[in-house]
Amino acid sequence: MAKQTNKKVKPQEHNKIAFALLSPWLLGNLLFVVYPIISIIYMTFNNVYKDVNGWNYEWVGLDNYTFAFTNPVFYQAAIGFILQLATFLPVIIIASMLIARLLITDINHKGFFRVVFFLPVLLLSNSIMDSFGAAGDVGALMINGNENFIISMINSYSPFLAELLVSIFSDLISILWFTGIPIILFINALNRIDESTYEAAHVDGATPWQILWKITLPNMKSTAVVVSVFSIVQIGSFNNNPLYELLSAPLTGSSSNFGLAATYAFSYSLIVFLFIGLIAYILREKQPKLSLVLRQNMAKAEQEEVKNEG
Amino acid sequence: MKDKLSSVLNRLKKVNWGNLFIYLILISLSFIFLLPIIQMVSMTFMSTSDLISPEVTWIPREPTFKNLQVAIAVLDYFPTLISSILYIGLLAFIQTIVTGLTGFVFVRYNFKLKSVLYALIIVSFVVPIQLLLITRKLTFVQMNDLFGIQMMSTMGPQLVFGLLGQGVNASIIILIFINFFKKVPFDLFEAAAIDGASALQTFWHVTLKISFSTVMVAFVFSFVWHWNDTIITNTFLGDSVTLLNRQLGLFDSLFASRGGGDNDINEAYKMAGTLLTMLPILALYFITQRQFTQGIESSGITGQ
Repeated sequence: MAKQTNKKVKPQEHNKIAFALLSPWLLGNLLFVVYPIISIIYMTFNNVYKDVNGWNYEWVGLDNYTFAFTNPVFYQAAIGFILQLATFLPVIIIASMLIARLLITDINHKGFFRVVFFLPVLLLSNSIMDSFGAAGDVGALMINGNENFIISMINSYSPFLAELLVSIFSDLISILWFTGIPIILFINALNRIDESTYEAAHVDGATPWQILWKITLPNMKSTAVVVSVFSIVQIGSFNNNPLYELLSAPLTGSSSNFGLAATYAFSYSLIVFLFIGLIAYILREKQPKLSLVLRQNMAKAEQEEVKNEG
Repeated sequence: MKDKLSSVLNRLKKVNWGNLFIYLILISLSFIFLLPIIQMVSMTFMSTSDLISPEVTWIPREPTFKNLQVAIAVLDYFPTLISSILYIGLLAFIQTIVTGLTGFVFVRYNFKLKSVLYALIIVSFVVPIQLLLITRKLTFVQMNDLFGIQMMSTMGPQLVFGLLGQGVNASIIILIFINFFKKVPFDLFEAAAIDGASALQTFWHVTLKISFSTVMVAFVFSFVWHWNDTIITNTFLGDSVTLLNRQLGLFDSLFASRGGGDNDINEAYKMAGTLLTMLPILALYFITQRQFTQGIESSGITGQ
């Protein structure tokens, strides 16, 4: 839909009404989002203690950062978190894409399956995640590392790969429960691809594999970025994230130096931002490569245009 | 003989193998998805003898309601349920209205710094909540130190967050509203302006009246996310309002005082408790399901 602007009402009046209606949200955002970010960054450079007289800020420069990064408790948790993201994210993206693709085909009882796959969105909470642990190790039901033939085969070839697979399967339930909203996002994205594109591809004799790689996947790149951002935030907010304990400590009152706590929280945020940046880079829209002949023709056409103008 | 064979083969050809395969995959995946819930339900009705017996996996030989009874007692289920529904319902209601209004402003008006503020919405979603909570907590603590207004361990902070559009995942809800409101033809807004409608009147008559399913989506999501949230609740609410999820988290410690003297804690009690905690959300979903699915499909939660 073309964007239409309202030319009859003067812009200043727009400003007044808009900001008046926006004021609750704007106030909330400034007070509870912008101010905290700035204040936290400031706190990371201080030791922040509370005593009888109030809050003490003691400037220590980068001391908090050096302490944090040399503290095994922190950096091991941080590395654990990064590894968790690196393994969970691809699985989440691929699994939700697959399920979304399956869910838009012409089968009966689509409604039932959609409810099943949406259930985790409704039920995911920390207390329920805790109960999962108590309900038994489901991953072990499906794959027992040492006794499973396939895993041993892979293990003899590459222990790293075997360990990776085992860890994915033991967390499989958690990973799959994170796919709830991504599935919806991918279903919407797939539905937006025009039917006629597929028909044209069939007419041109494209194989299903080609259709997958040339039509379906490129159209889902931007959705994959959104899914990744959403999943990164989601994974971080649950207690199977290694950094969770460390980050929640200052909130429940068991930490005294808020400067250090701020450093942990901010470093965690930096990891999240770096990941998002990485994903946005990997999944960016690339300029299509033109064939050599086409490029030569285009270059020739340009030269002729310049000649004609001159 | 040949006829029989060819007729069997014909029948086999008519079976839609592609769809069958898809069904197979979907059913297997559904099983994996539902596995924790199935285990939970089956454990809820298992007596101690069933739990110990290695022959019993899914179906208890001696089903019992005792686990449910104990869980209800430990969680103080019915009063907690009511206070949870009322409190979370209130927060969800406030959030729906405030985010709806905010989304409306972003679509209807062209104002200075619009793209900056839009970026702020995205930033508030991406920034990890733990980062923001430290300062938010300090703010309320300082309010107590400086002005003597104690808002920690009350409903206050969450109400303030809600009224100012900063509730749990509020930015996602704002984006959902923006995406849906964009589909309203702009001419309608102009027509309303010509007819002399105020901003709020336009909001109600033009946008809200046609977006019932989106409002339903926003309310259900707000409800579910606030219901399942434990970080913000534990930090700011404390024990002032008994909430089901918080009680579930404290199950082990509550068991000692409320669980009945001669019982040892066992998993089945906790499973029953977890099931009871899930029930209200499931009920809400099934009640609002049609409107909700309609809203999801039409609102097009899309990429930016």
